[in-house]
Amino acid sequence: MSLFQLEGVSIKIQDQLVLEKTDLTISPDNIIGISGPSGGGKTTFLKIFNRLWEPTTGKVYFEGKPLTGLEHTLLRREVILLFQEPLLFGPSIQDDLLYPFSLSRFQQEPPGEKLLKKTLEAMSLPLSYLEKDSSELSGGEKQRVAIARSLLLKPKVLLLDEPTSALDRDLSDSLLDCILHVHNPRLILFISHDQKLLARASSHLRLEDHKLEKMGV
Amino acid sequence: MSVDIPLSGMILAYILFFLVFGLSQLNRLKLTKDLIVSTIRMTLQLILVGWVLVYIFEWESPIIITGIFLVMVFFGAWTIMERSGVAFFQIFLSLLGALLFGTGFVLLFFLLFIVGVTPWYNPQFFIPLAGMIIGNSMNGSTLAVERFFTGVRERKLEIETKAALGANAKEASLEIFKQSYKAALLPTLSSMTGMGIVFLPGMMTGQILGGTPPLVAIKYQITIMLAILASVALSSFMVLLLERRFLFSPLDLPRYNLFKNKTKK
Repeated sequence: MSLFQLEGVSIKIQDQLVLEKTDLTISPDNIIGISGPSGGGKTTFLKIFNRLWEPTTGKVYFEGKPLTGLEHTLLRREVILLFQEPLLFGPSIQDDLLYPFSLSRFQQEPPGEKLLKKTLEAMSLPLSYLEKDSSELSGGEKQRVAIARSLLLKPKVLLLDEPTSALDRDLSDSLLDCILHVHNPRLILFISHDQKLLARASSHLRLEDHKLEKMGV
Repeated sequence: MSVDIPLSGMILAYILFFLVFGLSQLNRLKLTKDLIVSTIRMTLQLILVGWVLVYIFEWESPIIITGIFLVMVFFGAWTIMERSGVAFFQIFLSLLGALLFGTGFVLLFFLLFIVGVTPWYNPQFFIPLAGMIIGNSMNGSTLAVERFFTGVRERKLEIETKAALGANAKEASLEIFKQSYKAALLPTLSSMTGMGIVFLPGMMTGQILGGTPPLVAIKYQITIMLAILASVALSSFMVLLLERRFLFSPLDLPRYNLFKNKTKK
């Protein structure tokens, strides 16, 4: 069974066409890279997978069910989108990592110390950072905390928008391995211009001229 | 004992206006038009309201008093919408509802239980108290509406990041809500802090000038300040709740189309 299915999906932003009517089937256990020119609507395309944006036409199915029939806040916990610009809410890193668990409607147990440690280590962050003020962090460190925050929720799908833009070369190269070391989502869908990262994907889609094209990997 | 101001005194008061006018000219502030219009408007509006109050005090009708209260609330809501620059019909309706409830509840509580006025619609009490309560609630609500709108517009990434982690509209905009609410309450709280030391409040000064003993005047001032605080808090809170409901879609995201071409005045 497909994990995601797009049927006749088109996207317009303020009357500007981003994606022409498109059909797409995404199988589970995949890592898919998306590339394309800047300002082409890649981020908006990513947003339709967890209803942070609604397609102008067409339907999106997740595990065989139409997205419109799923409770959107629950969906967003299972299909997590990480923005290019990482935003921490503070005051401490621990507060940030536990923020999603403070949302009372979800009866999800906060992570234990072992998982916290493992996640931080995978993101090359020392445990002492838990008490650190989030405003003291560099852009790359913030991005790593934001990734860790999402991983702690153990999402089924991880949507990453330019996840390596603020990371140093070493971590950029090993990012997918680091993520998979902590949690193995059923699908990772990422936007990137980084050829090394794109080469790690099992499929590569290119969004250009309002069309989604499957590229060879 | 109340001392009336003679006509000559009234005319002399305008000398103070010419003092401001002269200073404005001297410093080339380009305020001439504003100064003249504001002063003429203030004079005409107060003369008009003085005459209206004379008749209202004579009629003492609950229907007329309620009608006046509704008109005051209507213009209060309209003013908030204009001053905050958040001009939407739904926001206006929210403001109307919030002001009506917030000020109406506090006003009736004050008249019936704190002062114990009979009848409750006694215009000598109702009109000035309604004016003070609505005026202050209007100022607080204006700040709340404007801050929340600007916050949601400018902190899009924060809201979306929180929404992407499963937060609903209430949770995603919680910080903006808190800051807007604080902004609404701060002027009243500052005014309470400085009262009696930094300045003597207008109502108390007026009562003392009108012949009320100072100890009675302070009792009125204390109770009215608490009523104003409650009314500002209630109205602003309700305004914010309704504004949040309007600005966010059922998907718990800001209705971005509302923010297009909307700039702060």
